[in-house]
Amino acid sequence: MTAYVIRRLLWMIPILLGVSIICFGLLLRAPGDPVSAIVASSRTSGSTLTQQDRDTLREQYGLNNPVYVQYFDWVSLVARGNFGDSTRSNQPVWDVIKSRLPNTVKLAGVSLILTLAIALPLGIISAVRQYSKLDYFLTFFNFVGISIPQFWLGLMLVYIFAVELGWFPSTGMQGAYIADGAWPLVKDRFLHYVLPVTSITLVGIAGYTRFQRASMLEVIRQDYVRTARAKGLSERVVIFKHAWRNALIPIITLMGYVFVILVEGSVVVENIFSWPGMGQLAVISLNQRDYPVIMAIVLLSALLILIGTLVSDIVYAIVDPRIRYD
Amino acid sequence: MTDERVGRLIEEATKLRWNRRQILKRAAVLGLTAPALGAVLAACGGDDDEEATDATDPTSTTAAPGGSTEAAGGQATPAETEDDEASPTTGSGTTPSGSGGIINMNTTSGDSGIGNPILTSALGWIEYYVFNRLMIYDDTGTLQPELAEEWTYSDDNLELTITLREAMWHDGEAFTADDVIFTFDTIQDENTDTTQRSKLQIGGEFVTWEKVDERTILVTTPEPFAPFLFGLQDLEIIPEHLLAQSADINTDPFNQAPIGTGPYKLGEWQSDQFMRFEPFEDYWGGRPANDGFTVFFHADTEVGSAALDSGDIDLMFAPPELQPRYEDNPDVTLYNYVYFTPITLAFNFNHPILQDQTVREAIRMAIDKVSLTETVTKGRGIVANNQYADTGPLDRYNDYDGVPAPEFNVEQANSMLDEAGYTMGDDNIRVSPDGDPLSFNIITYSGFEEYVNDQVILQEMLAEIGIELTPQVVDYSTLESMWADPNDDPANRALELEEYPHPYEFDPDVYNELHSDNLPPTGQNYMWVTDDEIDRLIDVGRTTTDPDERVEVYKELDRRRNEIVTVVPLYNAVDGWVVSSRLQGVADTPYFRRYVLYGLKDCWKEA
Repeated sequence: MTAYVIRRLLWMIPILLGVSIICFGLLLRAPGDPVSAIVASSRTSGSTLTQQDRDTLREQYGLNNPVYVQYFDWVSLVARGNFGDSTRSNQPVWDVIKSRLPNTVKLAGVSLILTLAIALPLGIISAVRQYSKLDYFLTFFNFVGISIPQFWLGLMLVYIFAVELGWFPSTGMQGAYIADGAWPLVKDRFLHYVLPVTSITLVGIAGYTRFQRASMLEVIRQDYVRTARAKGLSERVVIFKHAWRNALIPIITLMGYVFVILVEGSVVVENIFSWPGMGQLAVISLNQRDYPVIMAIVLLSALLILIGTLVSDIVYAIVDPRIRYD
Repeated sequence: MTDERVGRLIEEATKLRWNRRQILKRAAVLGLTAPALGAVLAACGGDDDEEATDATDPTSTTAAPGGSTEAAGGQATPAETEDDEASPTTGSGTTPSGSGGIINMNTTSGDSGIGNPILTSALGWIEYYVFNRLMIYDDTGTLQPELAEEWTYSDDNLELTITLREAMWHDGEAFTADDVIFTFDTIQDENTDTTQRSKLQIGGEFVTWEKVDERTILVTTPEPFAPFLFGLQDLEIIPEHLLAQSADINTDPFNQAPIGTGPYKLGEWQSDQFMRFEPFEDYWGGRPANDGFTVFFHADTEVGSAALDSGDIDLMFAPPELQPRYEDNPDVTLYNYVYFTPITLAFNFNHPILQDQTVREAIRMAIDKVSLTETVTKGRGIVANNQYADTGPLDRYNDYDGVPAPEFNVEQANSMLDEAGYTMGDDNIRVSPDGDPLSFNIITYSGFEEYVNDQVILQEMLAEIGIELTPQVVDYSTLESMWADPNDDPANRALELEEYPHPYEFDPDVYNELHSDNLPPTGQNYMWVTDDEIDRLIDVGRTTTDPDERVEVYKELDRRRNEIVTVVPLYNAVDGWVVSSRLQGVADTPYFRRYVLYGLKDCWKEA
């Protein structure tokens, strides 16, 4: 097992290099660059950048160098643990990410916990009471949930609960003016979390419930479940001790990707609710052609996917003794 | 024809007691020029908008709180309204009470994280409200003093003497001439990440500056240069006492906690969420009428629209597609203004067929601008025939008498092309005398549905004279990189639908994009216009410092551009700001775009 893990870890190096080369190449092939994004914004603000201004900026950002030089400059920086400076804000890329990461982890974390806490029991109930009215209702709800585009759901929540009813703020993760004391602060944060969390959770519940139902149905038809029932165990013990633990295995493997969800966030929801997280950062950086930030986000995503897959495989082997990697 | 429309409009406006904005809208639909519009406004007494008069009248029942502006002096309006309490975003806790309220607004330009106004990508709201410039163009296009009390040119127009006012930085230090010198020196420093250098340069060389005394600066230019003041008014002054010792101004903590001399102090800045501004009590221009304002960062105008509808913000920019939603909404007022330069159909003068003026004239004659404007802008746009936007800040440089609206005559356009030897082919596409089809691509940049619709309509209109257009939409960055590409093939962008040439917002100079000194790849005259007379007029316009003489020079340029058809001005896009009726003291200015940056300090929020 140890050798297997070390082998997998070593494989990550060429994979990450490959990802970075492809991403870097695609970015530089894409039209425009950070300077043209600055030109566009300067033009609409009523000023213009002279050719001299543009040339100076391109020189400063190293954009006049050949692509391979730009790539090696970037790799040598990253190898020293430095992702460079954002062309949009002049700040170190890592500082930009550090200021966003906690916001995404909070939003995605709360949403994920809620999703699992609701979806797993619903999936079990749906499977145990297959073809009951409740099962049909949950199936219907799940299909609706899976079918609704998240941006539409987000906008509807804003329209109904922020615009029409005025119960929650339409955007942001905190108010600009909060009274002193703990309670107003808690209330403010809670109100800001409700709509984005609901938007992520509703869609998440639909997917996870279907997944849990399917794996549970597969398990409760197994011989060992029939045996458990035959030897007179209570239904509760049969379901939770014998069936559910095995039905959780596929769910656990999915958890490997939780890292990615937690760190990368939801591009759609973060943009609709102006949530200052990683998803929003990705969109802004792409629009502004902020190469250093985009590269850092892509590399981080790739790394997390690799680690997530590895963790899944390891956990899979732990929870299912039949699996061996040696 | 025009007289008939003017007469009809006067009759309608008088009968229905229209206000200025309604008249402007209707005039836009009819395609009236600015002089004709002026006649209508004069005839209807519509120069004064009744609503605006009420709002700005110092003697009206609700006066501005704060006590420092001219309109102030009346009773205070409490900041905490019922709406504020109901709104989780505006909250209620530490909101200052008993005065002008907190104004909430949004921006969709994103948070660059840079609050030092001389650095690249600095945030506009900080530039305008936390800092001051030496002088600034107001919303009427008039240069107003800020940190410069007055400025005078020497007789030979080579020396500019600037007298500074007494002002204070937000940390209590006095503003002096050293701050101005330090700002200019920092901009000149090649280690500074700034795009402001060209504003202190003439012909690529820096002008010189020196401190005469604590309150006087002398700027010397190698030649008279009229647009210099535009550049100067675009530079905010930064504090020498806080930044002179900085190891690296590009990464100094000041950039996230700026200290200026402007009407507001930066209270709180939550990255990518909001910026909160607080009034500066010791502001040289008097304390703002409100108790501050908050700018929320929103992803787009739809998000902002939801925030406006729910009362979380009080005003926002409204692009044309959003405006119908707010036109008849009693809770808000829509303030319209034209973008300062018209939407144009620009010709690539490097294209072998489009070099022929007859082709350009025929194209101009085949475009029904009134119909195009009406259809595409849904009655909001104003037909453009001149070089700068009608009713915009550069309006006075247009020669409305010398540049009449072109005749729309498809038959004559066809005859012109026939006579010039462009024969109609079997496929209804003309062929040049050299055997090349009159088939062009028309390129525009993405983000504006209006532009895409323009392309389609122009495609149909020009098909009537045997010219085939192929619409193409690329993002702005792509277009910008095509302009600068030394191998750019004119066939790839024979016609461009955009705003060309793009002047400065308050200065008519178009040297960068229209003078033959600036052909690509080293310059930005990317439509390759080369005309000696245009070059001459641009040169004269740049060296004429007398404002009235300068107007005449640019009117001549307008005529020359019209004569050789550098572009076909199509229409002036009408942008707008939606403002909640809770805001008081909002002036009905012809140019709200600048008012938001310049005049918001005089507004307050209704109790």
